[in-house]
Amino acid sequence: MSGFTVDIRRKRWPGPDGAIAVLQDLRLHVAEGEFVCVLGPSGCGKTTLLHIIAGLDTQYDGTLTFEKGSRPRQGVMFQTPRLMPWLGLEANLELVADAASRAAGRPASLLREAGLAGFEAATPGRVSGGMQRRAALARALVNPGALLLLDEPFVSLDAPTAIGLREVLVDVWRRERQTVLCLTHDLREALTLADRLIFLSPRPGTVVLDLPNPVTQPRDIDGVAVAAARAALLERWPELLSGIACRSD
Amino acid sequence: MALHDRILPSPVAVLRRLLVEASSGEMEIQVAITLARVAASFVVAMLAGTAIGIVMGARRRWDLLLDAPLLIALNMPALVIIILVFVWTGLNEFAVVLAVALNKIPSVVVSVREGARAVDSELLQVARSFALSRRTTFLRVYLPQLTPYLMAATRNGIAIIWKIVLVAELIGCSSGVGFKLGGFFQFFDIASVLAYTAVFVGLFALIEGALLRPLERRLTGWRL
Repeated sequence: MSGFTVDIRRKRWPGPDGAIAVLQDLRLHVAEGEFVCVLGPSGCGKTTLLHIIAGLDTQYDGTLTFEKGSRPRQGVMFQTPRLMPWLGLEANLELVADAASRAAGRPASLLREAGLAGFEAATPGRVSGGMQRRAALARALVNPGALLLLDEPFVSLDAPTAIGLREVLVDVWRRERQTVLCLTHDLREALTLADRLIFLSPRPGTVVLDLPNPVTQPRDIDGVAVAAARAALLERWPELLSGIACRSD
Repeated sequence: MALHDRILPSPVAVLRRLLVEASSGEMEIQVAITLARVAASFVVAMLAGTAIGIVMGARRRWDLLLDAPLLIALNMPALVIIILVFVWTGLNEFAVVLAVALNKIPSVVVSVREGARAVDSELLQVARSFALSRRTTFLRVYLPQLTPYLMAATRNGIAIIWKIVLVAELIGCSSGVGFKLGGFFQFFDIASVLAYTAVFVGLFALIEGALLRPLERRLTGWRL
């Protein structure tokens, strides 16, 4: 069980004129097996929220509880690939893979699925940025059943690479139904991927809208249903979504 | 001419001397003794210097606390450290290794401290987020980032250490190449001095070329 509830009363960062509140009164529950996208304008604290959930930031006022009690295994994809530059792509996955995953040959099969067959031994410096991102996504997926925390995984990628990576993510998720929390600026992307969309306010970030995805499966990011849902949301909450709309247009 | 030959013997004379020393077995024994001292001092200096360097690079408090002692140690003449260690601990193998290691530790600390400061905290976050054990994090994530700095300290260290070992042997040992060179000096036997020097320089060039460079290429090739 990798569902969780995060309840942040306040998270501050030190600033030049005293502490800046980044997150405030933010409560979020993500159920086991749910795919949730968190959207919000730049600087609203999305990455800070992900770091808190990932256990990388413990300096906050609030609580984080997991359904099974203790922190589950997790796979994290950061905004930059953060691969170990001295290891080959497969070795990067094996570094974080548990024994069962390694025994099942999951690192190699995920690399193949991500279109990286033939590059297993290549170090990150020898492959393109897009290939590094694919390897980083494969690394996040390497332990089956792990809580997936994805920080804008497809941002600033060219369209074909982004489409390919989304397909990899969705294919694996459909097979394995991990709990996923995915940060994004892109409303169309969220409408394509998620079961539920959470919108954060500008800083200090708090949940201002929690919507089930109105688009039914199968979803196509360039399809009519996603475009219509996006337009409907923008019409209903134009101010709320303005920051997001600017980025995704 | 004879005097000139004694001051600066010809390469042939040095080679002849080298063969005589080598055939008697004496040279091999003395070189082996010195090499053992070099190896022991090197290991102690690298281990201690790496540990201190990591602590200073990773913890600002320790860096501030140890920075002044480090500066003093860096500027302490090798001879002074050797004399003090011999006086305080006696003329024994432990003293030789300790004296030489103490001479080398500060420069290892400086090099490793720089490496520890340059460690990528984002990669350490990856290790934390995937719940890697401390041991795995240190060996597979932290240490590889220090490798270029450790290799620099190693290459520089071996070159310096064998020279300091000879000084220590000259002052306080009754064996080793340094001790032998002292004897040759007293008899003005420059051919033997150069013969031993040639063997030692050749040995360390071999270590550098056959061991250190391939090792460095293997460990830090990803940076190219």
